[in-house]
Amino acid sequence: MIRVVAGFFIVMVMISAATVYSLKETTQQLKAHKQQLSADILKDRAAIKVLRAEMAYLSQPARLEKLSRRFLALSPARADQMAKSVTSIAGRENFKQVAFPVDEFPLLLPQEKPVFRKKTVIRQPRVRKAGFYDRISLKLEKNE
Amino acid sequence: MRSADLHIEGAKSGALEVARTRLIVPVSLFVFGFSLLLVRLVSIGLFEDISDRVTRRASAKTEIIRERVDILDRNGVVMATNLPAPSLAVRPSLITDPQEVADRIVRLLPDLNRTRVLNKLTSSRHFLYIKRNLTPTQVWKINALGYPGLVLEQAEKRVYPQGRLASHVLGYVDMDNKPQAGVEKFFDDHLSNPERSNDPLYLSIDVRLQYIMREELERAMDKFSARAAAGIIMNVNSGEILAMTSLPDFDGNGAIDPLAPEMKNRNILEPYEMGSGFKTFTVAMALDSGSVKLTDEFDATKPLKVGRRTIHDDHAKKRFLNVPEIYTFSSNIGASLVIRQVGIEVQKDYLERFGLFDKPVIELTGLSRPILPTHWGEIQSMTVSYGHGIAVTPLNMVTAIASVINGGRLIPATLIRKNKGENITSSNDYPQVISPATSRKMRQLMRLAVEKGTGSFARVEGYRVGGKTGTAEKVVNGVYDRTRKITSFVGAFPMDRPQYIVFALFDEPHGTADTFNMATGGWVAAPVVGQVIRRIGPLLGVKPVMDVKTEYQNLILAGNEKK
Repeated sequence: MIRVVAGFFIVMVMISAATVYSLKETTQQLKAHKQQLSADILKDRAAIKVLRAEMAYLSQPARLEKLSRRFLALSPARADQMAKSVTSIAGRENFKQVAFPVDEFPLLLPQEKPVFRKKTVIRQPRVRKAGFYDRISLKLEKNE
Repeated sequence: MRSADLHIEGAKSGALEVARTRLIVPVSLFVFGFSLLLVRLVSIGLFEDISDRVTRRASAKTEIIRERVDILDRNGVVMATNLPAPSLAVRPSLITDPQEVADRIVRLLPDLNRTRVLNKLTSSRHFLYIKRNLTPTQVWKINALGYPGLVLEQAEKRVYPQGRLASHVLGYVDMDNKPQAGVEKFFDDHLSNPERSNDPLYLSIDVRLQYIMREELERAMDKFSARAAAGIIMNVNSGEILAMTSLPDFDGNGAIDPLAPEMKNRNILEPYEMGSGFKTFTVAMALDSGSVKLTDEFDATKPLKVGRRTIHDDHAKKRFLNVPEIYTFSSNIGASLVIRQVGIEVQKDYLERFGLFDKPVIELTGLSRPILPTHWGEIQSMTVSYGHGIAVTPLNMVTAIASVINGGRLIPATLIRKNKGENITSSNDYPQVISPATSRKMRQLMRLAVEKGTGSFARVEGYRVGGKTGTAEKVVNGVYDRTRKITSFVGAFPMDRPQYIVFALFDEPHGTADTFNMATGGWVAAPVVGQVIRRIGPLLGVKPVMDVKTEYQNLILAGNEKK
């Protein structure tokens, strides 16, 4: 009897030791992953900053005006082209307003960091099997 | 020799056997454990990607960099930001062949002086900067040289993507990113706070309006070969400055000489005599204090002699003028007679309430006080009534004019974007300078001055522009010089319910053939303001109105028929 109990406890100790070890290992990997992510975020943020500055530089009003003169058949709106309201346009007594006038000036910014792909041979993406670390992190996520 | 071959005889032999067999358990456990370790070691050595971990550690370091907060315009366009710009430094102790290194550095960075670089390379000091703000290509090439003594230090550079556009508002920073002027200096607590790096500073400036204002001012400045120009666009109801230009200006990205004339923001730093623009205040205080009615007539038949001085009219009508006519035709004699009826004390009281005795209020450093007459006698009171003998900064003028037309509230100018809801201000927040009724009258008078009077070049089809011209002679060696003028125009639109003020001022413009050699406010500054309003009106979404009659028109027409 005592043997069974002892054996049971020994097995338990082994299992718990293995669990503790793997948990610790997982946490370390998660920490490294987090560090990697925050470094990536910082890198992306810096890239966004540069891009925004470049955007502002490239959309300088003087430059835009020059480009618009050259490539567009548009000129600035004049006062007589503005209507006070939709109703004031001749022959439009019955109207349905579908959208409101845009009085803000939304600046279009690039939505994503541009990716510069190399023109070399496209490698087949390696499919990684879900390892222990992935499985346990998935589990941890689920438990939360 | 196998353990099974040995047998101990005796009473204790059984216990030893038991101990032996029990030992097998931990031994096998250890074997199992170590073999696990071995397998893992082999798998890491063979299959794991090691470089991954190394880069992780290195890239985590970038977190330390602290940077200045961005400055954006009211629509979120970047006006000032930080970009990485590494500096090249040297540790002379690690340089073995200074001659060759110097040669190579100068070849890469041709604007450096070879002797100076050589001096630095052979210096006895521990660490020296060679050049700041390298471009990425230069960084790459210096890295390619591969000298261990050359150090590339991460640094940040303040960049103004809009270049010269709003340089006077933004100010600039020196080599160590320490602010030296403008908003950069005033809001340094916010801008240099690393905890607020995700909280950019939104200015009230609109880059588009700033561009239009600057372009029109520059064009007129060239045309009339003026020494300098200043311009402001302001929201009358919130005090927000939408554009503030002072020409000549500078580029914050380049090398800066703090004492150069272009560093001066004339809108806040330079008090100017505003000339007839001041008649707006004279008429406003006369009507508000109740001492003069709109229909009161004043004798402008001949120049007015006061003491040793004679006051002339530039556009003399040589007849009795009522108040709208005095304002519209910009009669100095009329204004003087009006102020005589108002009284010196009342005049001083009102001017003080308009904020014309104090520095302008705005979030910039280095504001100038107005220059006031040292002694207020009758003559001084009269000259001040038409804007001579008193010099105020353009911002003072714009803030005060805003209070005249926005219903009488003196709202301090601001460079910080206000939220939409804050536009509607209750009169309790700001001091009431003149009554709303007087303000309504003044709007009509300003409209008349553009429609019928000296400011006719500021007319814009579709927008009811009102305004007042101003022309003052400059004081040179204590005497007024007829050839040097300060001409200005303060315009507002739409006049029925004013929203924006546009102000333009030129320092020493010279008339051209187009303007019959005239360099007055009506000829120089009014067309600029008109053109600016023509361009910004649709942009600001101001609804055009085609035909609305101006009140008090009949007073002027009746006056003309008298002759």
